[in-house]
Amino acid sequence: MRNDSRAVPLSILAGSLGLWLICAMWVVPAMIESAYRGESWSFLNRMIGGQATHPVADYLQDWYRMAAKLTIAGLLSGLGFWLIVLVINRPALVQWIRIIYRPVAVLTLNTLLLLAGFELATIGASKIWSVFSKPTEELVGEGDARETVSYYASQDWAKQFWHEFRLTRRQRYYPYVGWRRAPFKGKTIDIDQNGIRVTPGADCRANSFKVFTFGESTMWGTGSPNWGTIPAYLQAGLEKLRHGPVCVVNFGETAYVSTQDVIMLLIQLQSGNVPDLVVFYSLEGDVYAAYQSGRAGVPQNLDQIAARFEMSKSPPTLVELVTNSHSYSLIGHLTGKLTIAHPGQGEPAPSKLVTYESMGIEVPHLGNLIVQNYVENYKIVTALAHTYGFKSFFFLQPIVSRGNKPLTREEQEIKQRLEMDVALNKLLTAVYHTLELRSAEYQNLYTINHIFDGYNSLLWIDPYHVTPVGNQLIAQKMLDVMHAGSLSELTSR
Amino acid sequence: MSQTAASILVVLLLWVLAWHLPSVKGRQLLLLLASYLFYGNWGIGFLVALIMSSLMNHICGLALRRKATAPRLWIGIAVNLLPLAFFKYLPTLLELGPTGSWQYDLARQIIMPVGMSFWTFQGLSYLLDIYLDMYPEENLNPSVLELCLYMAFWPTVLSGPVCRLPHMLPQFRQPSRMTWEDVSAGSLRLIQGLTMKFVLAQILASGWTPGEGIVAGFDQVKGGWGGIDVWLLGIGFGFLLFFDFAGYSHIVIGTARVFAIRLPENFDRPFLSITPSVFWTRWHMSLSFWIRDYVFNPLAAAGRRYGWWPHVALVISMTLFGLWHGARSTFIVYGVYHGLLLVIHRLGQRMRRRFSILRLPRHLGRFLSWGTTFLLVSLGFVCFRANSLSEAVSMCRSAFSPSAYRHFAMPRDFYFLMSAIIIGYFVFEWGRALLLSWRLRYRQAMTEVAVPAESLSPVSLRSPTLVMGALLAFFGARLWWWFAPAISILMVFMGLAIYQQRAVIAVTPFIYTLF
Repeated sequence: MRNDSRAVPLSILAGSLGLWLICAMWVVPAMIESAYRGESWSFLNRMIGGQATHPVADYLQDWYRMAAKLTIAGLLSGLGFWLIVLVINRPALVQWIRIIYRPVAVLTLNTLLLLAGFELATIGASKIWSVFSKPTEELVGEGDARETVSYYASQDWAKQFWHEFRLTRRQRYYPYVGWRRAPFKGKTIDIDQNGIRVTPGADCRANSFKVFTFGESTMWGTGSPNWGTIPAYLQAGLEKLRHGPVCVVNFGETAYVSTQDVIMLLIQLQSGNVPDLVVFYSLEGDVYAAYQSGRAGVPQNLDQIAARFEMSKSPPTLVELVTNSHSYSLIGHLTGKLTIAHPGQGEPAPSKLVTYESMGIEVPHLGNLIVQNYVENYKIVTALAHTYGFKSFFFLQPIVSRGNKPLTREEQEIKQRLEMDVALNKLLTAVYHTLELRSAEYQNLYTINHIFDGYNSLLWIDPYHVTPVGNQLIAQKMLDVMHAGSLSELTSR
Repeated sequence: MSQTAASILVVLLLWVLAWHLPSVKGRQLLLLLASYLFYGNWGIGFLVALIMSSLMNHICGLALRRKATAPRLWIGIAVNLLPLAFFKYLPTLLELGPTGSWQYDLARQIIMPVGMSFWTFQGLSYLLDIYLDMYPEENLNPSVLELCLYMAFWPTVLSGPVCRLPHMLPQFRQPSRMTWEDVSAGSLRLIQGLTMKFVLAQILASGWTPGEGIVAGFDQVKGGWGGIDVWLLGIGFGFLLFFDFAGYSHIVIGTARVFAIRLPENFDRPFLSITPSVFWTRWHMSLSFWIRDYVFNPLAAAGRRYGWWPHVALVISMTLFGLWHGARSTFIVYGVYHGLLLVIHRLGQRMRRRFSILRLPRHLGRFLSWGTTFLLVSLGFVCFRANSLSEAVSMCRSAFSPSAYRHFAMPRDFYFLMSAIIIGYFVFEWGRALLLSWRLRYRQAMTEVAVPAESLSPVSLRSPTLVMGALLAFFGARLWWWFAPAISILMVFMGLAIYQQRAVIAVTPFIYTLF
């Protein structure tokens, strides 16, 4: 009799589970695919929108995720149900539960009370500590390897620069392009109210020769003080070429992609701020954004931006709740004193990151999309130049893994670190290779990968950024190219 | 490390199994197997040496039990001391030869079995106990199995405490009786030991910032030490040794206690000692009592006709104590130093009794006596830890040179850490004594009204002291109800932190496993 009473619910559970799995794995996906194509019943077709921007795989993925959660919830409910049936049929188990209930309840309650007490105590202690201790600004990026490359050891401005660099990491929202740096006034970095890094010597009166430079952190000047950025050297070079005021404006910004550069240019043109010359120095940002998201033509850190916009931050997990507590901060700090970093575990393995590769996207496909996007931006700018009457030049920024520069030991290590991220390196190689081949098709698109070939000293501070000496060489190359490309006509105006 | 952890796990499982066996012999056999498995983890050669020593001691013991003569005892002593001399002292002597010579190469090839100093002394104490006839016959008649287990007993085989057979044998022979009280007390000791070793000793050794601790203070200072540096290094090393070795002893005693085996204590708040004599009844007690019972007492008795002879015996005993740690000049000087301290203390006591000089108020006298003992003992630790005799002399010179007190060789955090540890230790001891006294007062008050101490009866709450005592009694009686959750929270947080920081626990070897 007992076995029968258990067999019935078990059979119902097993049958339900089987039916559910069949539905979840075959029936519903087929219905989604059909509705995606608009071939299903009208009420189902209406449930799916946004086919233009989302492939069907996105919808299927969402369904599988939801189905997995439902399955787990169902299994747990079934298990609970089965346990209840089991307990009802066994009075001895009820007795046993009564016995263990008290200690389990007391221990659980005490655990919660202690957690709360400890958290309150650590909050109090941290408040008291903050009163007595000097407030220290938490600066992101302190101790980056690039801060310690040998070049900076001999530069008296370096320490000040990296300190100010960390202070300038604060970003502000900027319409259409997402972000620009907050205003900052330092000894080595100046950023104006519009988030533009100041170019020393720029004379921006009405009749000045106006040059807009666009790009990411390499153009902005990471690793270089105000006087050592590419725009600063362009300013100095153009002043020599032209007898009259020159105004080089540095629109470069960290983590920008070429589309953001184009939008930045559009905003200037829209407001009547028309340049005489624009210089684009980019590509790596486009590649990195695609590496992160598996899509071309999107900004970097797309997921985070989208999550902020959609306010779709998922509820914190238990681990996040624990790690955000004051108690954890204290214990984590003390534990750090008793432990040593595990060799080989300092950084997460690149393969563990979510990249285009882990999404199953092929390098040639994504590489072609990036190139296409970049070339379209080139064409848009060329068309704008034609309409507004300015000259435009595009330079593909060099990276440490391209060109034939005799690398120093430090630069070899930098290159090795880049190559360790196989997915990124593959995508960079594919995109650079394609664009280098196609650059000849476009009159004002230049590759300058071999610019450092004859230079023996250290120039690279990381795979993409160079020292002020490197910036000077790049700026000189740009001036040479532009001079040859009828710049003289413009400067003599 | 993972191999050691795995072997400990297997040994614990075997032990649990052993404690469920009804047969005493079967249990002893399983315990011996567990112990050999554990010890063999450090090297099969070491295990062979241990088994050989156990068998030889058993044979010598049998011979002595038949007829306890001095020649038989001396043979037994030689059987124990010759291997120890070969493994422990010969390499040091051979290393005096030029680098590259055969003596030097030979010295490099001799590796002392881990814990040999401890189990050799256990073997010796068995033979000496038979000869000196200090215990009842039934506590000194082990079977081969029992003696092997006594010598190899896995919690103590690496670094003691140095046990005595009459204390262990009845426990090996008793029927299984694991109790909740033993499990609770043992677990507490285990947690206490782990905290002392892996938190306090670790921080003292490596410093709050790695490379700024005691180890760096002795090994890396190039420009000479200041006076404050030397004192703090001496005191700090004393605390380091205490947290390390007393922590180890707590772990060992606690583990054995969980399984209802009671081991001798090794430390009893040594830094609260008010005289050098008291210190040696509280520091590494199992070894100091061994030296007292088997070296000093027989030696002093041999020359009792001469009044000065006990002093000589004291210096010889303490020199042997120092030498037990290894054939290094610093250990010998450490032993002689403590021997002389004990002699001076004895003479001082005698003078005080005879001439009634320098009568200070009781508390002031005790405080000065404690302070002097604490500083003198700490200075001894400088000799003990110094890398060479010349370094020890140089450090001591700094300690007694007024000009050296203007020089500070250590980083600022070192001074903060040492101050915090020293003050923290004494505040902890003071707090503990205060809490215990409150609880005692409460218990006495409860006894007067015949109410169970943990009942929190309102009749007891007459003063704040009694309220505190009542709370202590209440929480003490329900210790694991709050302590288990607290430990669990701590373990979860620490585990998560280690996982998130991608770190490993910095494990430095227990200091006394090197001796």
